[in-house]
Amino acid sequence: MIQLNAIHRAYRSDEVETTALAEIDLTVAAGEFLAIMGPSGCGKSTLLNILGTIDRPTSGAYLFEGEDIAHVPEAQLAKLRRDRLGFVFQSFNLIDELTIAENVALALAYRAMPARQKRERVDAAMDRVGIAHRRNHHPHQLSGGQQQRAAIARAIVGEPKLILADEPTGNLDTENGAQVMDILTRLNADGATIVMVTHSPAHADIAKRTVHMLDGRILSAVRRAA
Amino acid sequence: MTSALTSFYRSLTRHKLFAALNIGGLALGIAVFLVLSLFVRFETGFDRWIPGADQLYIIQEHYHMPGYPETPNPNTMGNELLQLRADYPQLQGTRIAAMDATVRQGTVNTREALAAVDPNFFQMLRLPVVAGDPTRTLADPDGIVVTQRAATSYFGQLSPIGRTLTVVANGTPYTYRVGAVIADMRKDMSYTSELFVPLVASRFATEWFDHWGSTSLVTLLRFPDRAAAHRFEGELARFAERRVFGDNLKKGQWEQSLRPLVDNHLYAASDRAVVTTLGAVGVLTLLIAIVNYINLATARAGLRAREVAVRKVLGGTRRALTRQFLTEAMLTVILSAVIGLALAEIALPLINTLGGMALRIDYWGANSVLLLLVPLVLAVGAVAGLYPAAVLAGFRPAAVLAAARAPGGGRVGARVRAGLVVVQFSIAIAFAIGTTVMLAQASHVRDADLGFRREGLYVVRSLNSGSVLPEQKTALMRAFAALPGVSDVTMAQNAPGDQSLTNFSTMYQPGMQGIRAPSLMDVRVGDHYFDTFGARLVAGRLFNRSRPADDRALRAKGSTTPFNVVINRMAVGLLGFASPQAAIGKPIEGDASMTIIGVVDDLRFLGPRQAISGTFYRLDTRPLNDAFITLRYSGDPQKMADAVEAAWKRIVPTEPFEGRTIEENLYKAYYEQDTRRGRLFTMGAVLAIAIGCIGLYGLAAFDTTRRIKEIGIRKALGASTRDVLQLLITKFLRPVLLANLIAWPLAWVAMQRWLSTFDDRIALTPWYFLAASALAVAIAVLTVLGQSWRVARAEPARALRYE
Repeated sequence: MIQLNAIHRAYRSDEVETTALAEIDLTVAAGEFLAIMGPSGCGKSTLLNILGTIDRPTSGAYLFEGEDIAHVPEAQLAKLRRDRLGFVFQSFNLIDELTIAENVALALAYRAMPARQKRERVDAAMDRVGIAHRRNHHPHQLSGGQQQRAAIARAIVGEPKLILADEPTGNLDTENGAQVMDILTRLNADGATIVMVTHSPAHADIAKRTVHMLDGRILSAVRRAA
Repeated sequence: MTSALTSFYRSLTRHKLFAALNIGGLALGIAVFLVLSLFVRFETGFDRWIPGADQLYIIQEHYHMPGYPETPNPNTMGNELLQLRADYPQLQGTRIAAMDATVRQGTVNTREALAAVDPNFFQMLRLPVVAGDPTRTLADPDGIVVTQRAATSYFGQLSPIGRTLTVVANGTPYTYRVGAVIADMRKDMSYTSELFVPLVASRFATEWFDHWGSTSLVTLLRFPDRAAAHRFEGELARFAERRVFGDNLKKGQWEQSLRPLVDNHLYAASDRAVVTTLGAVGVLTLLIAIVNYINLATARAGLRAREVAVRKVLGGTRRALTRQFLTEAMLTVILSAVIGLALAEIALPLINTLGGMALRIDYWGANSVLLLLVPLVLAVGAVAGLYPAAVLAGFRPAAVLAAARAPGGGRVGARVRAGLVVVQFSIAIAFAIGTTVMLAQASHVRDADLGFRREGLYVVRSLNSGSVLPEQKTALMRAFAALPGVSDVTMAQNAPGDQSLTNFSTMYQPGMQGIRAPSLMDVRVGDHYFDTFGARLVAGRLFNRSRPADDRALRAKGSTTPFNVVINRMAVGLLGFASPQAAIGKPIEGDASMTIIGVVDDLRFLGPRQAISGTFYRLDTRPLNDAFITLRYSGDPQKMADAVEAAWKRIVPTEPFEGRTIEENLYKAYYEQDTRRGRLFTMGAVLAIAIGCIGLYGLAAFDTTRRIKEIGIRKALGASTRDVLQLLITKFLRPVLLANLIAWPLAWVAMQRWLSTFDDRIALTPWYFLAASALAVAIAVLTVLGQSWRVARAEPARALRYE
């Protein structure tokens, strides 16, 4: 599904150039559940952002379902994100001014779809993560676990092929973290491809494969039997 | 205080853009407000500063006759005051007859403003005296009071008292002895002159001086208060019954009333409306600037949420925080006021030139700008500081940390800001519409068909002093006609922008007396009058100077045989003819029997505000009194002016020359004041819109900064750059579009009223509204676009990292 070839990402500020990613080669097959681990600043989030097309590599090739998308125009990337990707962030990134239902619906806002169908899909997504009863609340009225479940509902409402989760359990307690991992496992079982950045070895163990990173490079890959 | 100043300075330098928008916008608003309030004070302060002026009342006359102008005339017959005194011995009053005269010094002749006044004039109107006693001076028929400027101009550094001055009035030279010097005339006075001499009837009374229905001079009466003046208006009606009504004027056609001198300058409703409007522009512009300040301050408050949260966590009370933000607001407003004052001072010379005024900022005394500025600063500082202070101090620290958007005063704050933007843009768009309509009307007045060709005409105005002899007039006509480039010359009692003598006569078709008998303007014209102006003949024929029935010069004195007249199109309907053609050859009666031989299109020689009067023209090829010579020429206007002046100096060396192109004459007479006021309005309106946009820009900058993270989220969810732009711009455009709904009816009513003061006016079509609104919306979109574009295009990953 995804193939990264020699992906390089450098940040330049004034005269200092910092390499965030160096020569990353990575392949993610359809239906995989991949965990990325590594210490802070090793480039995990940068890699995830590049996978999510919300950041661009400095050099290298990014093939998404066989198509090189490293250099396609921004408008085309927006469409790709809209139709095929779903994001879950560590800090949830829900919009305070909107209700939970509105936040979830935001992922469908930029699609041409009958309003009724949108509503049904939003309801279905919220049911699936168990926050339908909170639909008219605002994010700050919810617990962290509920907020993250809302964020997951938003990520899956568009029925994406690939879900990118950046430390989805990082701000949650054990119980809520376990719930979120349950949901992700179920989504994977239902066919979604998941790439997840995490600090928790326990949660990484739930994934089918774990990639370890250090200083912008991939150290090793551990594959577990399904 | 030091810590407050430090904190103030840091908040300025930390957010330079906000500081610049905040202070700059408010300073501009204060500058506009200051300048326009000076203008209002200038316009409403006419004559009020003169001791004694508040007790003086001008006698004005109203004519109620068809075809006669309705505007009251603040002049009277020459001897009315004497007759009133005979009937009411206690009555106090004085007269002033203003005219142009020539001061003769050896071979040098200078045109000067002269006023013939009653000796008690300076007791009634106590103008500041520099030397001598003006009242004693005027008791002597040969005494003269001069202004300081005139004294310096005629006597240099020598003491003027006791020196003599030769003044030529109505063609006769008189030698006057200077007995007193008064301060120079100010621009805010109704009646001004450089020289004041006693009103001696034998010198200044013309043939119409003591005829009712004529107007020779201004009669002022003194009453202790308005109630007494009002009571005396009843006496004026009884006085008219006794003394006035007879064969010339009939009861019901004519009446007199009293006009307070201090109300004289803005007596016309249109003038009052202009001053009110410009005053409102000043206040509303300031309001826009204050709204900006509040909006930007509350918006910016969000960016300081963390500082507030930390201060609260460290034990800062709500009260202490309120005090801090109030102090900052007050200091900002003071800084803005100082910059605004400086801007106003810098702009004043330009505004005085553009507006023909003498506005000045006084720092001390009763008119001190500080009396205006200090309360303003306190009020604006309090209003502009308290609301943001309340919003800021009211933040809950916990909410600040948990939000994806930086807090901006919550939903209520956002709504208040949107509401205030609606207010601002309603005002700004109304101003834009007003400016568009005013500019369109000004351009219409410049290009409108006046019934004659206005380019290539030159008018000689200096025949009017009464000192040019008939032979000289004839010689002048001949000399002008011989100048190269001159195709036609005419002498007449009027010219575009000039009419020294206005005669109205009651005219009617035989048998229609008392049924349809309009007042028609009676204009005596010389040969080639219609050709020179390029008037259009509608029916019949023009004058032929070889026919005795046409030309008064060929008829015997006292002849009663009917003579021929040309009338204008307006007179056709007034006299009751079905068409111009139907009037040709028809007899009409008035002060004599006449026959209509021709009808010309209406000639608009007066201003665009005056209605065109029904007019009849009679030909008299003899040198006319109260005349103007107009030339039709081709070629360079300056060369023509020089040639005309040279010819004048050769033929009338004793009289100063005055001539202008017709464009200049019309401008000076009718367009100048509207143009100047229009410029002031445009200036205020443009600045008001600019200040509104500064505010919108600031809000957009704030809002997009605050929403960077949200935009990142939206982009991660698949929003394209276009989606984001649309989202941001729509948000700001909604209040601007809503503002149109408020602005349109306001502007419609205001401009309808303004246009109604013009007789010659444009129609108020929706195009002006659409154009002005489109412009305002375009400016608003561009203002917001600059900010939104940057954010909408940013990489989402960067936006998501943004804190």
